[in-house]
Amino acid sequence: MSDHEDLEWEPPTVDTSTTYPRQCGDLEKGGFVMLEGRPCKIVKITIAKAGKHGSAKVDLVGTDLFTGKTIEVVSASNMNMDCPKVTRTEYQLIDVTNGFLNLMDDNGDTRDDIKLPDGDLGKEISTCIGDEDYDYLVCVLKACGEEMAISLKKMAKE
Amino acid sequence: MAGLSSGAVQLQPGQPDGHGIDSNLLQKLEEASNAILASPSAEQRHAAEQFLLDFRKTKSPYSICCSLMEQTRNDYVIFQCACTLKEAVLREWAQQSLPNVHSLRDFLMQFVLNRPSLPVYVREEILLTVAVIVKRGTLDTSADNRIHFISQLTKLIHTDNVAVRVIGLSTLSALLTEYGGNGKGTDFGLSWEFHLRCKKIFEDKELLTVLMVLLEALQQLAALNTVPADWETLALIGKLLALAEQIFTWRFSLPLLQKRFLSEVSEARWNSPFRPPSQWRELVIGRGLVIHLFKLYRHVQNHAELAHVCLQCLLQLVSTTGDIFPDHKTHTDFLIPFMAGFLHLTQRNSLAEYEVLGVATLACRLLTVLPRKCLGQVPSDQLQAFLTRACQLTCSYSYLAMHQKAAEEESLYDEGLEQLLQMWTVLWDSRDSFPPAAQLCQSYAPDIFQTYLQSHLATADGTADQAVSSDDMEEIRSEDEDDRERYSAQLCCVGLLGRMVPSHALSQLTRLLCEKISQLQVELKDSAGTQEQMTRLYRLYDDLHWLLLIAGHLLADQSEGEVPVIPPELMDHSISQSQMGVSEVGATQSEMVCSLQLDRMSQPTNDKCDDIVRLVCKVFMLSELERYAVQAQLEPLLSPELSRDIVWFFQRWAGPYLLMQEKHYPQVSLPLTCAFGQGSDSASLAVQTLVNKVVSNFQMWTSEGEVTEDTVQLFLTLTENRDRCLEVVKCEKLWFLAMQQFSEPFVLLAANCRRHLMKAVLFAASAMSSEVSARYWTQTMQPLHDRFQAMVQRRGSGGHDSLREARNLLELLCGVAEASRVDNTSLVFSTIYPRLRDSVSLLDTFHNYPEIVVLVLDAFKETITRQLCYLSQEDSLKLYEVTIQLIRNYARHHGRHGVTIDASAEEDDFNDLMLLLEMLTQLINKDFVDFGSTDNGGAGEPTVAPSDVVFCGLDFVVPLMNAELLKFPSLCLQYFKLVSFLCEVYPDRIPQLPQQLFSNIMASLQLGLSSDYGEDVQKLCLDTLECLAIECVKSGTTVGQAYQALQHFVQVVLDMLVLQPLNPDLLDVLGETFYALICCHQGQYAQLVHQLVGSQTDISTAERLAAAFQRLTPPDVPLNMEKTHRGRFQARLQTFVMDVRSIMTVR
Repeated sequence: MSDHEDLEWEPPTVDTSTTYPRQCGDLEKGGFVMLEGRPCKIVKITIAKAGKHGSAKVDLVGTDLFTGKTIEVVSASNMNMDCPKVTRTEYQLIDVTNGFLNLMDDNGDTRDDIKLPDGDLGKEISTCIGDEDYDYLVCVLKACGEEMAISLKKMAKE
Repeated sequence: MAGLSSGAVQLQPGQPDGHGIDSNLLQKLEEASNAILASPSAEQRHAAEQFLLDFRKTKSPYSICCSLMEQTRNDYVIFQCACTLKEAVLREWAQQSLPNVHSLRDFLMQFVLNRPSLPVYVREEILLTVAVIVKRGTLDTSADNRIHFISQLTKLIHTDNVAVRVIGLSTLSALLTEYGGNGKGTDFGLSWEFHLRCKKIFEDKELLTVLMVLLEALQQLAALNTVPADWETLALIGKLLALAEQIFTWRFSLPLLQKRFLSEVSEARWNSPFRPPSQWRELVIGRGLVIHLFKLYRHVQNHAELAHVCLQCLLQLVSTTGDIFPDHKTHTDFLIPFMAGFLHLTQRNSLAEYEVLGVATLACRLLTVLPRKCLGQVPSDQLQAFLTRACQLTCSYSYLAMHQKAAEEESLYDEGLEQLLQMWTVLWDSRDSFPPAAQLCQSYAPDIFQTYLQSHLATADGTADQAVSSDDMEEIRSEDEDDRERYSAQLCCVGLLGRMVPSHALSQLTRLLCEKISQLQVELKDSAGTQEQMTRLYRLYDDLHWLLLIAGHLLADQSEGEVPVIPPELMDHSISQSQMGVSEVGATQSEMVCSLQLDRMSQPTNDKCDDIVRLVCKVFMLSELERYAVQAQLEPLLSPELSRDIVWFFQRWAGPYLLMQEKHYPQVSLPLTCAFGQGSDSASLAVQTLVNKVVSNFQMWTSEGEVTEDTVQLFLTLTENRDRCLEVVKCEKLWFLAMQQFSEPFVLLAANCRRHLMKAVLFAASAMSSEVSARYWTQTMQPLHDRFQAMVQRRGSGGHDSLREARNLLELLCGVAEASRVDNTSLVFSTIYPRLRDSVSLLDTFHNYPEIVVLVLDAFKETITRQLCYLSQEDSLKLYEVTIQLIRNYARHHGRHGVTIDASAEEDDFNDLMLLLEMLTQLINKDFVDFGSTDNGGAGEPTVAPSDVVFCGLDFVVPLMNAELLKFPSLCLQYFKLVSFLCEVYPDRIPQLPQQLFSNIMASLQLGLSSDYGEDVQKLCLDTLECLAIECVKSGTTVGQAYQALQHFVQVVLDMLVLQPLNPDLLDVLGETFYALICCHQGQYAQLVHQLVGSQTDISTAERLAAAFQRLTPPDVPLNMEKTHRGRFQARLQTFVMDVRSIMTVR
């Protein structure tokens, strides 16, 4: 990829809201939902009811996508909940500098504003730097304007 | 404390027996003992423990310990001395002379007898040491010596001194524990052979004596009018009962049950019935053992622990079986006293909590084991009395089960009630061999049925708890408390009890339903919604809930796989009612029609209507009432639980009744066929009503997942069956359901429900004429096609709306796949195939979204599972090709390195892999089962075979399956299923796999055998190895990677057979695999045998081992795969494993 002289900001997408509504009873484990204003991954869903003959309630336990904090909310099954629009984008890993990842997308554009994650994934990413035999893809998850690296894939060089 | 450990060091070197005891030793021991008992610091505790442990290792400690025991007043020191002696005896047995050991044994007995005030734990430890000495000497001493010892014990038990008797009984008990060989005895460090021989000798000689002693003691106690309630006597009774329990649970060595022997070696399994040898007949049957035990029970009834053990003894005794009963009569005679005993036992007004379950189980087990043909031999008044009491108990449990609920979650009474209800079904089932049973049941059933009903209903009609507080209504309950699941056993029995007395049961249920419905009608008319009204409504709903559950269980059984039929009791009842003129066809029909129209509901019920139909009519009325209430927007007042009950009832009822097949019955009831049967107007009206109900539920209860799931199940019941479906297709609402699947509220239904709905909608097409069906099909599928295409064309622009749309469409596509049947294969395939092609490209857009990936894989898996075996060659080919594309595309995005598994990962996170494995396994099936037509010969050889697809997938999936992933149980099982199935179907192709792939598979097999993945996985791994080995033998190859790899497994499997803990259930498959392996690698086998025999230090063991191998594979018998040889080897292997294990297992 050659250098791009004409670096331009991309026009904003039409849909600017970061969340969309979804019926509570329709949520599923592993999906995403806003709990107490934070984007969360649903780790547990228990269908409960208010008394034996009452209406269905949903007991949601989620972990904050970015901080890992656990949040629990009980809500009526027919209520709408806000759900974060979550996107996952893959970038090719180039380097790690000062605790930030250097990444390149499919168009050859680079960015270096994603933090090297803590924990095993961070260590794994660090050890991949300098391995010339494979390409490494880092998947970056984005929700409500926040972003972070969530996984690493090892690919044969194309 | 610091000085202690140095003291221990001094003690270590073998000190001359009895001389020069360290004068400080006693003091140090006492200090250490006190230290341990006085909650010391960790450091002090450690020092003291170390000192005592060192002391236990003292060589020849006999005299030291004996004198220490006599000198000290510290109980814990005595305890430590006893332990030390026990260990030394076992360790140094060979160096001791028998007289010395016997005098040690006698010293210990005397010591205990001289000190009646010893704490129990010390006494028991000393007696255990005595028992160990006796058992260790079993093979060395003459029988006389042991008999003498036992007779001494017997004398102790016959003295007047209670403390002495307790000591005698304790010693016997310790002996039984040691000899019992159920893994509870002391670790002797000797081969199993030793233990088994000891057990057999004891069993043949002494065990009977012990039983006799027990019997005499029981007789003596039972003869007393009252038993003194002092602790000494209670301790004595406790000992006696413990001994009885040990005898009744003794597992007699039976020469024929080799497998049982093996399971005994591996672990003690409880709960096998008492199976004494025939020589015991006189003692067990002829001397009133049962009567004495019951009498003893009376004495201990107030002591929770003793009563419990006594009941356990009785339960074990009632299950006595085997040679001891030469005929049914003897068995019956043995059991009859249990009836009287039971009456005696339940005489009191109320049972204590600890008796509840035992008593119920006793009654149930008694009737279960009683030979049915011999029921007539029981004196009829006694049987009657027994049943009357059992009926009283059933009723009282039924009441208490509902009222004790608050106290404990799992009520004892519920469990007891289940046992008692079970008893009645046993009695009912015996009516063929014992006709009076029918009448007996019928005389008790009304009471029980009535009480059960009342226990579940609120006052006025029943006795159920009234406390529906506002808390109850708002308390959040989790869904696992579903009454249908929780009480299913009870409800099935109650349903059966109702069928014993159909008139009574049907009229009761109908009357109560009728009343409740009118009350509901009144409440709903005046819908104030106040707290008070809600409380009243909740009660009403709960009553209706139970009435529907009971009615559903009364009318029909749950059927799985079989064609559901009307219970014969009910069919007979309806026939006889109609024959006697109690019911009439016309009245029945008009009643049915009325119930389906709300405006005519208030008409008085017709007396001449059939009972069954009338009950069903009431439920239709309730259902219609609910539907109208929903339309009047009263749903805040309604109960989703009741909605579920209503559709559940219809689903259960519709199976056997709605549009019933007359050919399934020898005789049918006219009123029933006229109301529900084929060609009747009311049946077709009923179908329409139900379809309307389905639509209404989907609209009104959209967010109540449980209601919609039960509803869609009802809809499936209607469309699955052709006769009912013919009526369904006449309903306008069907087209509405079919066309509206992409709009609200249907898109809001839970994912599973949407799938099932699609399935049901497509089933309906099968009952239409071909022209209508084509139109229906197109109209249903067109939106799916259009939307799919639109989405695929938008590719690249992910976005959230597309994500939701993709989810929705794929979910429906899975529903289409699930709707595949023989009769619509080509139609479904032509619909689904283009969409599968589209889905492959969807993976490019959504590969980062696991929920979409999983759905795509699921759609493929369902299609392959349900369609492939019916597809023509041409269509199959298309499916293979698109599947290969899927696998390649999936693999491309998945990365080749495998997945990072973090600690919080759950099995659900790997659903994609799971589905892929299932899909590949299903693909292999095509080479196994194929009903598809082969096309005209012109097509030539197919270009792609299922195996190509499978191996393509394998190439991708095998490298991923590392030990981390295999820790997830179902993933692991599915992987090994795939591998073993593959080897079974394509044994010739496996050896040709690329070297890396092949060695990966072999490594996973090694992992599967050596890890703790469970029996099923081990079986699959062994099967795989067997297939490979057989293939090698058949092809006669001695080169190649498969042949090479198998060599290693000869040893692995041999070790599993002789050295590692053995799971007896695996023995057969281990044997088959081992045989195939040694046929393949005869040289390796010979070498391993040589090594194993050579590694034995003991010459006689080595010789016996060699001989065992000689017998397993005699040199003159060739090792080949002929069937006869394989069979014989298997038989020899059982003996071999027994022989070798009893030499090599040490305990």
